[in-house]
Amino acid sequence: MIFFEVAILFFICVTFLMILWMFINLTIKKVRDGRYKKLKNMADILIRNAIFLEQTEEIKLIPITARTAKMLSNDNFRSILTQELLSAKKNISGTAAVNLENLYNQLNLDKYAVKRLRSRRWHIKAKAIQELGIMGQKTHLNKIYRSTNNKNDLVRMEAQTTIVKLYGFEGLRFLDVVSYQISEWQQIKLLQELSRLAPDNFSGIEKWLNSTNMSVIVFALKLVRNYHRFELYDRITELLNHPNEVIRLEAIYTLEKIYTNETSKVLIDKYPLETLKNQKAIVKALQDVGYDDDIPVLIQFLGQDENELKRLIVRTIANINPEGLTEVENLPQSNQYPLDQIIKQIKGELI
Amino acid sequence: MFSFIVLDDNYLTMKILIAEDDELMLKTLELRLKKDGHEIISASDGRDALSKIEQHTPDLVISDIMMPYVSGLEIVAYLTENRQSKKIPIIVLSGMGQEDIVLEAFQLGADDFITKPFSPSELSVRVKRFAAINSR
Repeated sequence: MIFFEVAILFFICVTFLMILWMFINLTIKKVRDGRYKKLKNMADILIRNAIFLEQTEEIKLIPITARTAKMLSNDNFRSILTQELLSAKKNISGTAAVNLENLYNQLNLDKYAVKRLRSRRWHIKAKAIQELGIMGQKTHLNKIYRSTNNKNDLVRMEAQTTIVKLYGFEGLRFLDVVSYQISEWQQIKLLQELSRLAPDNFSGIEKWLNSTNMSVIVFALKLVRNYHRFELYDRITELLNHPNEVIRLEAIYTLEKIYTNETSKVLIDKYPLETLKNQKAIVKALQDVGYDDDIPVLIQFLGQDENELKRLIVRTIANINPEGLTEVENLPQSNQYPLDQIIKQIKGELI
Repeated sequence: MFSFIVLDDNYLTMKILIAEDDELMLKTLELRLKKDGHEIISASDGRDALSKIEQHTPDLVISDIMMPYVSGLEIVAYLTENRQSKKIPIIVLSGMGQEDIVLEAFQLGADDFITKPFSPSELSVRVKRFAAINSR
């Protein structure tokens, strides 16, 4: 009986403690949420004042109340204000965006971002770099530049993107020194940043094409073809002899974009020495750079077992000159599988 | 022979519904368009926007594409499918790299789009164009 009473008492106590714990937690959460809302509201008002500040020739100071100025020493407020500023900057352009940058400078918020750059935690560092980039803080070039070869992938990627965002093609000079591989995704991001800028005659590609970092060569090849740097044609043809398969493949893609009337011969010469993947790329490239004279050689290439490659070759012949298909049809094996089916398919594509 | 839309300060004002989940952005657009004399109805998500469209029947809807509960695309679809709201023009706000979604919005019946980041003044000018058309 006593055991039963103790058990009930224990149960009541536990329930009471749980309710108390929940109540305290909810109260703390409510206070925190209220405080956050209040600070966010203050930050929003300040940002809106900056957005709607009239444009004048000289940079105007954004009016800040004494209370807001005092609040700037509060870490929480500063963090909320910075987050809101970044969010607004991502959504707004024009004079309003310039005003936001001015507000950021006026409040010396860059000072705190630079401080966070020294953090040992990679995510804090990466976020600080991103912040400086979004807010157009060119004065901190050296500090960001140092991180372009950081051992952490994400810090490195953020620093490289930010440098290009702030300095355009000039920012690519980090390629001179970067020792880590630049991932495929990062290359896409960098090219996307560059695509927003007017292409000028940026220098350095020759150097990057000779880099010991394979990914730098690959990226340089992408730059050559995106910006049609015809003057580098000879160097690109040399890269067809590179020991790395990926670089040879990128060189093939690049030659497809900056070809001369000699390119098809160069590619055909390399064809027998190449891997299957690169052979396919050569045949595809010949669709754009090939001539009638190349058709007999392409017909010779049909004497192999890979059906996909065979189909590509026939399609390339048809692309160069649809009459070339007649020569394929005259081959003894043209009535046999798979060539008969391939011819049928490519003929269908021509209609 | 030709008809011109004159964008001066005396154009008619409209009742505009803005659907945007970013509070700061919503308030900024609201203030900018209120400054132009428009009556603004704010909605902080897609669901809120749909119920306010039914309640207020605005003259123009400005909607972000990426929103919780109901997306901007669903709002466009709702407006074009619904007989009462079929004639309400809609401007969609899209992020960079959302070209495919913008295309889909146009196919669904959107009238205009603005890519973020954009200048509030640009939006104001576009709204003026719709106000001029609305007043004819």
